[in-house]
Amino acid sequence: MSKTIGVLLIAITAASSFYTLNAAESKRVVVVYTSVDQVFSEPLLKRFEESTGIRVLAVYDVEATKTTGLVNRIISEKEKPLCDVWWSGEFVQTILLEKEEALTPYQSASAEGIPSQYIGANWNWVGFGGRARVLLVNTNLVSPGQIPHSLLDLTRIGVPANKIGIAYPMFGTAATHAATLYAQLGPEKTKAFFTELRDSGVTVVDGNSVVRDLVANGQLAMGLTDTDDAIGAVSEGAPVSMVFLDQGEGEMGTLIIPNTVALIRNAPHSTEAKILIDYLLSSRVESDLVESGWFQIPLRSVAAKQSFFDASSVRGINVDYETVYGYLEQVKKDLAEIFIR
Amino acid sequence: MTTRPATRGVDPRFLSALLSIAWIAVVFSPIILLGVEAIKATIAAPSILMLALPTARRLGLLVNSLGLSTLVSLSSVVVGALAGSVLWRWDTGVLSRLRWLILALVPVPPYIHALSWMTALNWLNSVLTGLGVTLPTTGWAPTFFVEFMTYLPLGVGLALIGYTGIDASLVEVARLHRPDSDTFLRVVLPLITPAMVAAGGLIFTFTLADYSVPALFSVNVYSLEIFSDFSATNQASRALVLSVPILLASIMVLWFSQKSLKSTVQINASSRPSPKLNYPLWIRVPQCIAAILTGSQVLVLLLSLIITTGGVSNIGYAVSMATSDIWFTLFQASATAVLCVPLALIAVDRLKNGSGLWWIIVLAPLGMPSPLIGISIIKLTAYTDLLYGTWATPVLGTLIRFTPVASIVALAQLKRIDPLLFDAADLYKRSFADAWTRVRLPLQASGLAAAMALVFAFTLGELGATLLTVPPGASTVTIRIFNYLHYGSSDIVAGLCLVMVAVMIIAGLAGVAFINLRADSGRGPE
Repeated sequence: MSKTIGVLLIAITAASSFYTLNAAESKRVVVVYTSVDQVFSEPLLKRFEESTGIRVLAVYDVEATKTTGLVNRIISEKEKPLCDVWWSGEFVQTILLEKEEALTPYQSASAEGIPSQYIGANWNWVGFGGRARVLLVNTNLVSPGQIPHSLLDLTRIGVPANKIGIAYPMFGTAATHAATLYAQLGPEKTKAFFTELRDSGVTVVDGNSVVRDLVANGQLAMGLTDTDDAIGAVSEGAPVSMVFLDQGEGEMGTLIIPNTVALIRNAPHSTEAKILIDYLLSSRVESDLVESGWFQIPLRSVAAKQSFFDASSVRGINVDYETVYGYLEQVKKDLAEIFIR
Repeated sequence: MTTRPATRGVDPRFLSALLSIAWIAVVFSPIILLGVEAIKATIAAPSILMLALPTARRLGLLVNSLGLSTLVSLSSVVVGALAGSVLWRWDTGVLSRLRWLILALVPVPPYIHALSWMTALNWLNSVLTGLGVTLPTTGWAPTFFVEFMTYLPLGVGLALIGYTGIDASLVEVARLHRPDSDTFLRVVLPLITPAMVAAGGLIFTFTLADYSVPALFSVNVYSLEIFSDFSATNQASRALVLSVPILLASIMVLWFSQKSLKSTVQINASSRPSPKLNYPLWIRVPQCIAAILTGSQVLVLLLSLIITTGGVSNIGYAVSMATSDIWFTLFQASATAVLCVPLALIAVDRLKNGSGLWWIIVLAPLGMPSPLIGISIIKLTAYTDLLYGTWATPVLGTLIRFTPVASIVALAQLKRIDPLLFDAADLYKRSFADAWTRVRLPLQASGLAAAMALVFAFTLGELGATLLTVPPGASTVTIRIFNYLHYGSSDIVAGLCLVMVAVMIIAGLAGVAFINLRADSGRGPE
């Protein structure tokens, strides 16, 4: 037994040496942590490797950890960072890192044309292409007359409430959406709205992707999700359509969630990190991500060969991202009280 | 008159203290670090302490969680013991190997089990609609059923390990004097009780910590509250204090269940075929139901994965895109399974002596949310500048999480060994190493092998701690599964899950081949 363990220990050491050597074989590396789905981000990072010769060591986040994953890793590693670039699918986690002083300014030339509202204070981060919150509707189960016009009418259109789905609003972009409503409508009105959703029996599920799946397979008639999730269902031929809420004149619009990219403070490979940020902020990457379906609303004029809807027709909520971030902790606590019971 | 041979080597008490320190340094020091941070946070804001006392809404969630965990663990143990007794009879030919397939399902994440059962429930509902019957797809009933089915392979697997370790001669002797039903109830079941109690304790703890399956069925549990608070505040110390009720419940269940066990002493597992007991109808019917439930779990999961994958070419595609992840996962799981052996041996040595403090130290990691373990490893390795950002940190994470599992399983198996054999080894040993390599390790080999298999399986499916500690550029199959799950690539997700099952089968076959090789060379305890 002891000899066996000895042999296995030697094998483990050999395997670990392989990994160490493998990681060190390229002199120029850049480490990126990203919450963008691997299926979208990995091909772009591979193309960056091919064009620059800089090896990208990526860590990909997952929805299942309820936004307690890579952001907490960056905060924990703050004194001795392993990560060089943070590429997020949204903005509140990036602002959290900014508040934690985990980021450092970098004014990328590639950010030209991006409106200032999508650029963090002192260039600590830059936004570069948006997803939107959308109502995904199963067209086999919902007639056009039953589709709500406004988010606040969600439970007042004749569709049974238990056939309407939302993701837990304490996590991910659903939480960001709730915080935006706090900023737009005020905490009391928003809490009343969510309390009404709960009391009416709306189905609360484990994430936007679950909302998408349940609407696509007909278990739910409609549900709130993100455009990238909705496009996944549309692409697979599910009987669904996307509805943007509150689009009329004088109405608040829907939440647009930009991707954000930032340089980590004391990044170990800062030169390579800046090259990667320049690449990610380039118009070509922005159009590639529109075409792939990751985001649909470019923040500047880019030429995309294919898009899933007319982005120019979508009205976004006019809201200050810092204000939204400011509400986030209160939102999560309030909504936990309402929904986790 | 026998004279005791002269022994040489270090003072056992010094060695024992050294091993205790080493164990704490590896497994418990990251948790100490988090504890210190929690104490600092509590001093700064004493109100945090109130989080450890669940009241009002949180109390309701905790009661729900405890109820669900108790029901799931009891059901899994009872059905596991009954189904295991059926599989015990399959001791020849292909069936004797096929029955171990049940353990290959253990590494599949609970969430995937739940998705498979959701698909099955929807299909059933579409069939039953014509009869005017609808099965619930949200709420407590499907949550209980799916959690129970998720952990049933673990219950059946540990029962099978218990049954196959029974000395057949004991059963045969009992059959001479009593009917088979009595033999089953009064001899066989007590002999597998340590394994089943271990299974029950572990399933209770895992169910208590899991929010993913309940959340999928729109049920709220206490562990979701911990994640919600952590997500809102990003304060690990608050999450740690909030975890205290779960931590205490897990420790109490595992401690009391193991402490209340009497040793079921056997000389050795017999190599004779398992006794073919003739069960009366009132045992055969529940056995049949248990076997059908177990079979349906295997079928639903594998069929759902195979159908969703859509063909061999898709599995090939999933393997090709995740090749480096598969290698890294194999490395992490193998390293954790091997390294947990010495740690489990040290822990078992202290647990069997009954020190309450050691029970808390050993079992504490089981009740901690996995991201907190990841965070504590980052902080400790960064602070000490040891292993920081290397391949070793995810191994450390899974070692911390699953050494308690290995310890409980090894302890349960130890209770089946005659302590006189250990005393004899101590008395007549030529050296400390001699006693361990020639007597203790061979006697405990089956328990340690079971512990290694389970730790290997659990490591394959680990997510929370690994995500925070995996070195940049590396990934695991489970991380990729959850990433693709969000995207909606159900075919790739199913393909990757089948890869996990295949890895577990190959590792199991390698383990069986290794054990057979040793048996053929006649290397057993002396």
